[in-house]
Amino acid sequence: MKNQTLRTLAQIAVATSLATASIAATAAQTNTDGNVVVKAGKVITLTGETIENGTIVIEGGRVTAVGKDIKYPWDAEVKEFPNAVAFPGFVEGLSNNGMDRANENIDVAAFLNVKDSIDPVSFYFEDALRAGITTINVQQGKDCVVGGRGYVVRPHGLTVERMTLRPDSGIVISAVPKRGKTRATQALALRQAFGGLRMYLEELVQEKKDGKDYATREALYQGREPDKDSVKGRPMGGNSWKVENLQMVPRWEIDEKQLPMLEVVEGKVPVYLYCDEPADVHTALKLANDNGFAKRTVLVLGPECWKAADLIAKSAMPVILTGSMKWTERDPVTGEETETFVPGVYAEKGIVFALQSGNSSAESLWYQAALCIGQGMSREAAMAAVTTIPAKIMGLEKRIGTIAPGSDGNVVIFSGDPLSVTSHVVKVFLDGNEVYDRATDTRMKHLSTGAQPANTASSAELIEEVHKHDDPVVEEEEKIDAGENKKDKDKGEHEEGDGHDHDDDKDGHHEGDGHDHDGDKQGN
Amino acid sequence: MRPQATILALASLACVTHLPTLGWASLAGTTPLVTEDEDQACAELPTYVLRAEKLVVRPGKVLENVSVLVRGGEIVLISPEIPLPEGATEIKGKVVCASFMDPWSALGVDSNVLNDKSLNEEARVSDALNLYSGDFLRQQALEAGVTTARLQGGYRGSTGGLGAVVRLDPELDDPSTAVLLSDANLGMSVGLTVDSGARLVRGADGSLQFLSGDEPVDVFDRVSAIDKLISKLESGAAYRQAELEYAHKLDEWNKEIAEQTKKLEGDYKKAKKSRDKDVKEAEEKGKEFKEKKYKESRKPKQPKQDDGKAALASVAEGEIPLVVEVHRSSEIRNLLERTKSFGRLRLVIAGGSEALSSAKELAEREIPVIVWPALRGNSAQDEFASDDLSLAGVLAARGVPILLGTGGRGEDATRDLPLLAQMAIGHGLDPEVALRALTVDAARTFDMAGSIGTVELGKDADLLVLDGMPLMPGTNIEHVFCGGRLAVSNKN
Amino acid sequence: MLFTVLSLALGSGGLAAMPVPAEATTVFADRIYTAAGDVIENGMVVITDGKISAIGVAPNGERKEGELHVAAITPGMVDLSSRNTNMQTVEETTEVSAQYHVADSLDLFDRSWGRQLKSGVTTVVANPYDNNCIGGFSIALKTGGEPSLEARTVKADVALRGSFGSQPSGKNHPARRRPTDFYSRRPTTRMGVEWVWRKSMYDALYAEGNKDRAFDGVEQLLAALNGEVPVFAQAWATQDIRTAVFLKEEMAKEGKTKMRLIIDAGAEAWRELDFLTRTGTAVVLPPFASDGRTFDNAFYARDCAAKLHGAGVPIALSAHNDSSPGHSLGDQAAFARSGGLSFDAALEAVTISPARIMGIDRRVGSIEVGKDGDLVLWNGTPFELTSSVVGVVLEGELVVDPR
Repeated sequence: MKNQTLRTLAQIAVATSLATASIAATAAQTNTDGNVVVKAGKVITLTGETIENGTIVIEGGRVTAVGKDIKYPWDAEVKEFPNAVAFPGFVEGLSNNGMDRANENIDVAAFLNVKDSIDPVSFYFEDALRAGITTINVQQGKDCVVGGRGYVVRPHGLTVERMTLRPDSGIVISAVPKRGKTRATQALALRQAFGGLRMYLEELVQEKKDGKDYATREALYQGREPDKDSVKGRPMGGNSWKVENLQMVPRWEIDEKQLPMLEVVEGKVPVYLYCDEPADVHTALKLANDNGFAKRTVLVLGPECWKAADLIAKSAMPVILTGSMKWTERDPVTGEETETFVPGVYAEKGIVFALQSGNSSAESLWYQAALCIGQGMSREAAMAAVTTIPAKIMGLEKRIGTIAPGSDGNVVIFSGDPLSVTSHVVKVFLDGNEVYDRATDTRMKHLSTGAQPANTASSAELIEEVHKHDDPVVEEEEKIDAGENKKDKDKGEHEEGDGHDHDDDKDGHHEGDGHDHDGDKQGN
Repeated sequence: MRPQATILALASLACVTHLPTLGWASLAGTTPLVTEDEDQACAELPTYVLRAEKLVVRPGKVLENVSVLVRGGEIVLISPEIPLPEGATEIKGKVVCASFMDPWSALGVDSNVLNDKSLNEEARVSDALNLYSGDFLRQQALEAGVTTARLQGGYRGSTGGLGAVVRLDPELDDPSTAVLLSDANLGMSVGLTVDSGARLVRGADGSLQFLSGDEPVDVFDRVSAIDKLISKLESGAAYRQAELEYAHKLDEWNKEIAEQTKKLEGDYKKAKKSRDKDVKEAEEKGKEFKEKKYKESRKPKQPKQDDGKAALASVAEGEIPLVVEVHRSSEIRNLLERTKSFGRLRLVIAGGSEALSSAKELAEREIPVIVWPALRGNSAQDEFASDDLSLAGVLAARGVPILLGTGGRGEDATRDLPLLAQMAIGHGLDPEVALRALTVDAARTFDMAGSIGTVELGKDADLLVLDGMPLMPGTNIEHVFCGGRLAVSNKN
Repeated sequence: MLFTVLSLALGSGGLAAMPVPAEATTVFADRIYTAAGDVIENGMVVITDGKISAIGVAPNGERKEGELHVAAITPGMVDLSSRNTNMQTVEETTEVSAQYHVADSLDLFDRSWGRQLKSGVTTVVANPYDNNCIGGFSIALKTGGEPSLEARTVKADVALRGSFGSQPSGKNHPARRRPTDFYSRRPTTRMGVEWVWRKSMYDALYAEGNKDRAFDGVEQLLAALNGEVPVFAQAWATQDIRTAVFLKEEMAKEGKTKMRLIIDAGAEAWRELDFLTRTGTAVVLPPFASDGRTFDNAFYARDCAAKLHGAGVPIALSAHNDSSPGHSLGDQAAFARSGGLSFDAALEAVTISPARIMGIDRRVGSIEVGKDGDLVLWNGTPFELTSSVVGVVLEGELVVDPR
């Protein structure tokens, strides 16, 4: 008996040690502490040369070294991609997606914040990873006069806090008429928003002054020393119009709805200014110059704004280009169509510009950059417009947009050239943690091959099950006659569409590519 | 009245001194007033010398065989002999006159704003200009001789907001350079038909009906429209009044408080002593010390700022003119009657199809009427019986100041202004009156007389060079100067 | 002046350099993709009198001033489903309008032709708009050149067009209480659409031997049944593709074994390949859909083209009248490549394969001596989004100049 027990004990001991060993082994593989070494056939750093057979060392979520044949800790987790390309990841300079809704109904809603609206499980963030985008600046849309503040996020994380890279990354102002407004009433509303701020602050200051004076007189009357001054405010900053003696008002007493506007005038917060038409650019620039935030402004431009490029170049503001990159106009007199390659105009005038993803998940940043190259832009300029330039516009160029010591450990592994249509994203590392793996991406498999995820109602196995109970094979004629009455073999395979009838764009009803613009807007 | 700038620019003086011997110019022999650098900069500005057999300074004043020197966008010299400066272009012409202004135009107004029925008084058309498209329309207007226009939005609504005077140069894309006067007037309209859009509706019996969309305004709505207009003016006047009263009251209160403060300061020592005594007493007695209650008169409350009312106030005070589009005789009469009480109001009537019945009063009060001599066929205006091409002539004959405009609805109408003027002349309008209406009177009505409207020293170079008298059949425009730029040149 | 044809050996080497001819359009390129099986490095194409007269290696030496030199040349692209026709091209008074020819209602001055031409599509098949079950005859024509049908037609009456699925019944509705408009008629469902097809085919069969039973369009239907023209039917969803294929097999049982079927916009063709392979049906594929969702709830998997090609189904890609960057026919080939289609198969799918499917490959579809001089000039490797069409030669005329 004793021997038995001893043997059992020994067996248990061995089993335990084996188990521990295997646990230890597994633990090393699923480590999420931000330490990883990535080796790839090509490493694109965007700081200079592309490195063949390069190595990237990421420790604690930051890149500590990148190069060829560099040393790394003996126990580091090494991921090798010998035939693939490592890339810093695309940077989305401005996006209105991933939120519940892009705008509120209120005209001046500077107090809103996208953190209350971002949905971490939105498909948009998933699709961003699939397209190799690692940083997104989520801001409100243009259907407002003054909008709320945005966040720079990573497209991964279960809560907004975990996704956040930089909170309060900017505020949104729109020169584009809000729904229900025209250009005249929009410009009016913009002026009144800032005029209203000024009046409000002046009233506050006046109240304080009056209160202080009153207190002084009261004290004089009552024969005592007036109360000590307890000025806890800050004088108004910035270099445009100022409200004198604002330091008499403690900042916490300023209405929280007006405080963000004050910060804008003081030049403390980046401003994203939407313009759709070239005339909007004039309104926008005037507003920015009159209210002291011209130096913090980033223009977000619709395609037609290239006509105001000279004005924009003079203002030296960086721009984010949205919408189609080709502007087609028909001369109302001759009927001739002219096409303008919009980003080319900005590149030519030396304006700093970033590109924006289009509306569908395929028209992502790689697609925009690739099309620009097709239209004649240099590869360097096109690549910069979707990586280093938006990073700089956000003020985060030291952390994102490149793979360099000190930058965030964001690495996207592409199967080939990131701008080639035949390449796809294989893996994505954010802060050194693996957050996307194409091999386990069931949605991507479905999109690529139509394969249904296992154990779902329409999966191959279940269809097999159903067919097991089909009627026995009948004569050929009858079989064909009954072709339309066959058992619901088809039913299961048609449900995933969930009833979206895309009549408008997909059935050939459209007569043009939708880019027909008359030179004269009156429709003459 | 708005101050009208008539100061000669220093630069133009410099340009004058740059010339060698002058003819009868009164500046002969004066010492140079500018530096050499300014002189040099001047010399590089585009310069033209126009040699006219006839110079129409303004309708009624014609000089023979005169030359005009245009430099830097301005008329710098008018003299019988001007030697051709270096680098200048010489242009010979039979007739030189001021170019035309369309005081009732829509050329360049964003179509959404033009059709907006719900503009408010403080909305500005200068915020809604479309200068990046429609260049060919501006070019056509220039070729017809029209170089400036007064634009207005919201013609479908009762208020059009603040209108603007704009230069129609297709090369100008920047509103800040194209707009000459950004709050030229306030626009309103009374009694227009409302276009609700042509559509098919199903009647109560199930049959389909076609509605043309032109619905005449209800009579009672029309009556109330003038009431609304007048009450708006009154609220504007009241607002201004309230502002003035507030300013006055605040002043008085400040004085009162200042005096009181002085008094309090004087009595301070006494008050302190008395208080200290009271405090001690309360301490000894074990009672709570209560401070003396201080009372003073309340500070007057500032009236709430309202830009719309401010705009109405400046109209009521006559600072900017009020253009009202009104056609029916009863409404015109009503309007004239009700606006009598506004002594400083500068009223301008636009349209005035049935204004003849009030011609006497219009002439007496010198209220200009902007006539749109159009060939009507539009059902919306057909209800106006007497809007024909002879309206301008008939009103002018009765002494009513008239202007000629193109209706402020369609962008492409402005280029037809001279043609419409000619048609009005053909129907009885005096040619000189017509030319005045297109030039100096339009400028004067909208406070632009300091820069445009006549060919005089210091004014902007908005000129036409023609081969005959303007607005005469058979006359061709050879050159058009728009803001000093030779914009149209049909003859070498 | 015709130049002698020089030998064209396949593969590298063996290609003799030719002298540059004086009176013809000559284009030089780093690579010429002929779609006839070979790729020529440093090549040139000579077009005389609108036809390709010579292809070969360019003479060595510096390129002369003004010569046309680009990175790559492909044949002019062929789009079988151009969809730049509109309501005017379908006669909706009856559901079966086989007797109409879409050529009679084409507006050759419409700007869409020019846009397609600029994007590299030199030949298209214009089809009646798909609001009818059987719409009429389609026409293959060039997208540029003199604006007359005589000048532009490549092949008239090239196919009998029709549609399955929900589009033909889309505007019809059952009469509620009283018929309120013309569209209170059948079919209102896809089974009604199939019935209309069936009935017309059987009516044609009955009329074949019996003049009393003739009706408008019977000749055209019989031509289709007898295989003289292919039937070009739109069928996005699997069920509609099956319906089309079953009808063909049914007609085969009735003795009409020569009937040819081409499916247009076969987005779900990837689901059941055997139907297509056993009947020799060709498939024209619709434009790329980023989320796979297309008309009629059809799911368009990204590897559809690759799958079909692998199974031996003749395929063609189409752009549905979108010539904007990222959506034009060349870009559709790029997206097909991203779904796994090889470069060569992608090239064929926009050039020779559609030409063969429609029987116009004697004139267009590849760069071979004797074929029309339709070339597309690229500024990089074709069918990548980083390259675009910079020039187009149409029957020898340089209609879009890259210089």
